[in-house]
Amino acid sequence: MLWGSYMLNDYTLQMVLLGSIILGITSGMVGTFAVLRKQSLMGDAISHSALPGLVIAFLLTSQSASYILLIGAFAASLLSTFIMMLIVKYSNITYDGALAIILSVFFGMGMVLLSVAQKLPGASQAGLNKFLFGRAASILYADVIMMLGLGILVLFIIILFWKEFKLLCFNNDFGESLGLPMMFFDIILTSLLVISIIIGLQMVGVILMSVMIIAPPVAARQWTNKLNKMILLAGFIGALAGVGGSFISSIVPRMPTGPTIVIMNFIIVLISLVLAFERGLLSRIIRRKQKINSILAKQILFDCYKSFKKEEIISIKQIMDNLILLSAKKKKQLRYYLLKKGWLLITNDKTEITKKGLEEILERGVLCA
Amino acid sequence: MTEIVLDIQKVTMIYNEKPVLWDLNIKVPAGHIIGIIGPNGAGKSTLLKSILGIIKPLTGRILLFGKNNKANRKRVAYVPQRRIIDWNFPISVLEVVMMGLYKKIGWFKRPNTKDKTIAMEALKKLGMEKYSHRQIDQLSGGEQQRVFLARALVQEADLYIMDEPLQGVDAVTEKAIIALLNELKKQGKTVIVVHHDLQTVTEYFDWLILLNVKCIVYGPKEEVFNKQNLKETYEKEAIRIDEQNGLEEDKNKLMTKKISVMG
Repeated sequence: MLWGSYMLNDYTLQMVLLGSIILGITSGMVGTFAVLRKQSLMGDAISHSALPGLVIAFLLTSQSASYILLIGAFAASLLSTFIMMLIVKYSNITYDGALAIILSVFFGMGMVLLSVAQKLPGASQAGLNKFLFGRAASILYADVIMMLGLGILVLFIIILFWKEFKLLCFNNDFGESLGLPMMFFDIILTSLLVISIIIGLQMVGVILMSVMIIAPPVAARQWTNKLNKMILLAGFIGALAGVGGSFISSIVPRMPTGPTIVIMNFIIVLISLVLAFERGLLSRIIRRKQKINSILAKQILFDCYKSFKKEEIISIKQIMDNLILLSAKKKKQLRYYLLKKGWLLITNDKTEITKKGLEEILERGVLCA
Repeated sequence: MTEIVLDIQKVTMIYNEKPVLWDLNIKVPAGHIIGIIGPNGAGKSTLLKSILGIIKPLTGRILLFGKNNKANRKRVAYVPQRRIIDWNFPISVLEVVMMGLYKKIGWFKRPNTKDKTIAMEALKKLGMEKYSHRQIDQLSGGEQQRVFLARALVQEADLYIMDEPLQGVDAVTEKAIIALLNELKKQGKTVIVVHHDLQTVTEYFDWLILLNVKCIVYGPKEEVFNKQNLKETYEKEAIRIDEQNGLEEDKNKLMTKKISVMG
C-alpha cells in the first residue's frame, strides 16, 4: 500500500500514466474508424512519415520543445497521406503498394536527416532519438497538457461528425450520392488519425505507434457488434494497455515503456481473439461442432424418414455406415443427440421415426438445423 | 455398360456452418456433355470444388473413375470462373496455356519446345493461335475464356469441369466452345459445365443435373428437362422436403404401423 502511494506520488510516473491514458483513449477511438475502413496500415505509414518532419523542424528552429517538433511531424504525416492518395488515384499502384512506398521512403529520409542532425551541436539534448522507440520518462507536464488538449479536440470532433464518419467508413459512395462532402469528412478523419498518432510519438515512437491504432479496435470488435460500444471499448482498452504497460515498465528496471505498452496491447488482442463470447475462436469452434452435429443428426433423421416411406426396416448402424466418414466417437455422440431430441426410437436391429421426428422433418425442413 | 466417370455418394457439405449441398447421390457415365443448372446459391460451384477435392464433404464420398478423387486428379481438367482471375497479371496467352502442362513438366524444369507446340495446337483448336504472344489484359472476354479452355485442353484429361464458361462471352466464342465440347464428347470424354441460360440448355447439353442444395433430378435431358422439375429447382425453398404425402398422412401411417406392431 505504502509502496503504491509512493509510486503514485512519483512525478515521472504520474506524467507517464496520464500520458498513456490520454494516448490510449484517443488512438483507440480514432483507430476504430481506421480499422473498420480496412486502413489499419495507414497508421503505420503515417507514424513512420512523421520522422523526417520531426528532424526538419529541429533543423529549421534549432529548438527541441516537443510542440515544435510535433508540428513538423504533423506536417510531414499529413503530406504523406496526401501523396499516398495521389499515388492511388493517378497511378496503377494499388493502395498497399502506395503505403509501402511512402512508409519506407519517408522513414528512410527521416533516418538520413537524423544522422545529419545529430552531428550538430545541441542535438543530443534535443533527444531526437527518443522518437524512434519512444521515451516515456521524458514526458513533462507541458507535454501532458498538450496531449490532453489535442485529445479533447479529437474527441469533440468525433462526437460532432459521428454519423458522417459512420457513413464514410461504411459506404462512402452512398454518401456521395446523397451529395454530402465525403472528401471533406475523409480529410477530417485522416487528420484526426494523424493527430492521434502525433500524440503518441514521444511515448511509443514512430516505429511501434501503429499498434496503438490497430490493436484496441481489433480487440474491441471481438466483444461487440455496435459501433458506439466498440469505439468506447477501444478507448478503454487503449487506456488499459497504456496504464498496464506504464506500471510494469516502472516496476521492472530498464524496461522500456513504449514496447511494454505494445506487448500489453498484444496480450489483450490475443485474449479477445480467443475468448470473446460470440466472435472468439473458442466459441466459434464449439458452435461449429454443435452445428455439424445437428446437421448430421438431421441427415440421419432424413434417412430414417426415407426408409419409413419405403417401409423398410433399417438399423441405426446401417444408416450411420451409409454416411461414410463418421468416426466411432461421432456415431456415439449422434446417437445420444437423436435420443435426446426424441426423434427416433432406436433398438438393436431397427430404427423407427417418432411423431416428433416426423414433425421436425416435415414442418421445419431438413436444412434448418 | 459405360464407365462411371463421377460417382457422388451421399455427399453433404457445409459452408459457414450452413448446409450448401444436401444428400447428393449422382452417377455420371462417360461420354456426355453435362450441364449443372440451378438458382444462385444452389451450391453449383461448391459441387465443382468438391469434385476437384478442393473442399472436403462433411459426409459421403466422391469417386472419380471408381477411385477416390485424389488418385485420379490428373485425369481431370478444371476451367475456373473468369471473374476470379486477375487480368492485369503480366503474363502472355501462351504462358497461361502452358500452365496446363506444369504438373507433367515436373518440378524445377522449364517447358521445352515440344510443350510449346502442344500449347500452340490447343490455341489453334480454339482459333486463338494469332494471339499467343498477347498479354492477357489485351483480350476480350470471350478470347480470355478461350485461352482458359486451351489450358484445360493441353491437360489431356478425361473429365473436364468448367465453371460458367459461357458467362458473358460473345457469339463467336460461344460457338467455338460448343464445337469444342462436342469434339471432346466424340473422343469419349466427359464434360461437366455449370450453366445459367435455360434457353440454350437443351441445345448444348445431353445430360443435366438440376441442383438446388439437393439434387432435384439428374439424367438424360429428354427425361429430366421439364416444367415440373424446373419448378422444383427454381421455385421451391431449398430447405423443404415436400413429398406428395403431407404430414397428416405420414402420421396416420405411423400410427397404423405402431398398432400393427403391437397387434
